[in-house]
Amino acid sequence: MRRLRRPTLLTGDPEALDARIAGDLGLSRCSFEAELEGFGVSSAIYPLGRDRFLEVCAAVREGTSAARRLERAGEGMSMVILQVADLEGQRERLAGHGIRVVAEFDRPQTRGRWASRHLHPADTGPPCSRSTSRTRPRTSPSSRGRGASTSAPGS
Amino acid sequence: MTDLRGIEVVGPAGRWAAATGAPLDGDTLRLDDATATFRGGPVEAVTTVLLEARADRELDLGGVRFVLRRPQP
Repeated sequence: MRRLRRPTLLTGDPEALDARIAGDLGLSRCSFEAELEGFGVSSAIYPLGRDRFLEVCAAVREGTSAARRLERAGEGMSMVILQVADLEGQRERLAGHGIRVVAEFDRPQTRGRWASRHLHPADTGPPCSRSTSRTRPRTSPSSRGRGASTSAPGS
Repeated sequence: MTDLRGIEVVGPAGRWAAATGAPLDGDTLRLDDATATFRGGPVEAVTTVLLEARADRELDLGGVRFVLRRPQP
């Protein structure tokens, strides 16, 4: 399994972008977190097809990697979340290609337990791409739109 | 807007293929439910999001081009 789960935009004006996404794409937020712990960004999630999402992040703290990236490069795609079935197998591939891992998570989410791995953007090419793998079947029928991931940009 | 179809990336495809284990078809990485198409350019970035929609349209959102296309018959 290799799925494209969530492209993530980084913006300096999340309210304006929210209005554009609603007006131009007809999408409404299905989840919002004012600050993702450890990343210093807010996160708004929009449903984008079956079990896939568009995420919009905005820096809420100075000095974070997201704030620096926004200042350096402006708005744009800051991360792409990809789902793979076998994170352990991926570890070997990454090592074989010299792709560094900058963070790993394995924690329960609303829709089951997911493991995720952030890859170094200098090795994958910006934006930082991340792979996730659900390690346990869905445990809840509810959806807040964050089933595939834990948090946000590491680039 | 009905579905996510793929992305376009300026940058080398090989690193993404290595990260995902997905097969490369020329410059296109074939995922189960989408494609990532790679090309050369001065600045590495994800430049485009491809969406399936009820009408053809192109727009810029957050510094990224969104291309909406009706499904092929």
